[in-house]
Amino acid sequence: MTDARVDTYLAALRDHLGALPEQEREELLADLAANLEETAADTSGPLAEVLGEPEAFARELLVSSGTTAVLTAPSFLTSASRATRESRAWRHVGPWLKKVQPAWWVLRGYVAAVALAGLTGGSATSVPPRLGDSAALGLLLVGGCVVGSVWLGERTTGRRRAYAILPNALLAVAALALVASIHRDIANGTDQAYPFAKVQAPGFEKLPDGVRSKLEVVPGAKQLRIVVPRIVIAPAPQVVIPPRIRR
Amino acid sequence: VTDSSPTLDTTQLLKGVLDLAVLAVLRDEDGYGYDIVRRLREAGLAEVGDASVYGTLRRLFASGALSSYVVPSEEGPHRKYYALTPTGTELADGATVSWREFAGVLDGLLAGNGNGEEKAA
Repeated sequence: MTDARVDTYLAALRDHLGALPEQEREELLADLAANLEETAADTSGPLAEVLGEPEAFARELLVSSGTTAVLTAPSFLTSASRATRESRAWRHVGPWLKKVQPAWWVLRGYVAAVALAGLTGGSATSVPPRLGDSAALGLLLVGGCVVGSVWLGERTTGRRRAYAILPNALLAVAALALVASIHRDIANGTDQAYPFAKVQAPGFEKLPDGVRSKLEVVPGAKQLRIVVPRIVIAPAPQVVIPPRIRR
Repeated sequence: VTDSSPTLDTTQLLKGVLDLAVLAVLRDEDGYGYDIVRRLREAGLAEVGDASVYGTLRRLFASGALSSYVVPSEEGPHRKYYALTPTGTELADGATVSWREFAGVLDGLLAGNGNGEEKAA
């Protein structure tokens, strides 16, 4: 059984011992792990209360072991992520995030599927995304990506997390691009996935100021119409929107 | 900074004699890192730092004064035990003599209130 406090402390030490050759460093940390486990067993508080801050511990270790290696400062990224993990807010939010992590994995898989569909020329904006022209293949793609993402998520622990940063960032960019494209499609009213957004109003570029239109569902007609108040324009333009174009 | 503390800074004193303290503990009985820290503290060196003991062990090991062997532990990771080598025993003996001389001189100084040398016997 290992103590989470020991893992945290060792990780912090690792950041400061970057100047040591990797093999020497890992061997040193492995030796320390056994000793720190016992230190942890003898105390219920944070290890730093007994051992001092990791930075001071690492410095003392290097000085007393007589190496010429100097203390290294952790990179901005590692110190920022450590500061986050050790903050009070994270202590409250962290466990909750851990709980919803599987939901994030599923969402990530879905976004990956959408991105892949978009890359291969399928329709990324339809739900579910289509692969080429096939909704069935699209569904299969979503299933595969979700399973893959959950599998990866469960395997990605400890130091491996560093390798997840780039793929996740790429997916975030893909998600943003997708949102932007949906937005543009709605604005243009051109995407077939959103036929209701297309307004046909011959003779009217836009409504006069202060006039509001409203959408109405025509029962049974599978149509939406935009109704403009009669008082302003006569005859009232009844704007008929074509039904969803079938593919 | 004029921190006129009434006692000597024992952490500074320890730095000079930690090697000897560690060698002395290991001369009694082989031990692993945390065990040696504990034994030093029980002997009265309450302020000994964990990191300096671990570092000292590594340095003494690298210099050939100590050998090591691994003992599996039931409840946790395997423990690396350290033992004195013949070189280590020699080192301990030599350091013991140096320390006794040094301590004797200082005792004499303190007893004689500054005129230590004649009373240093």
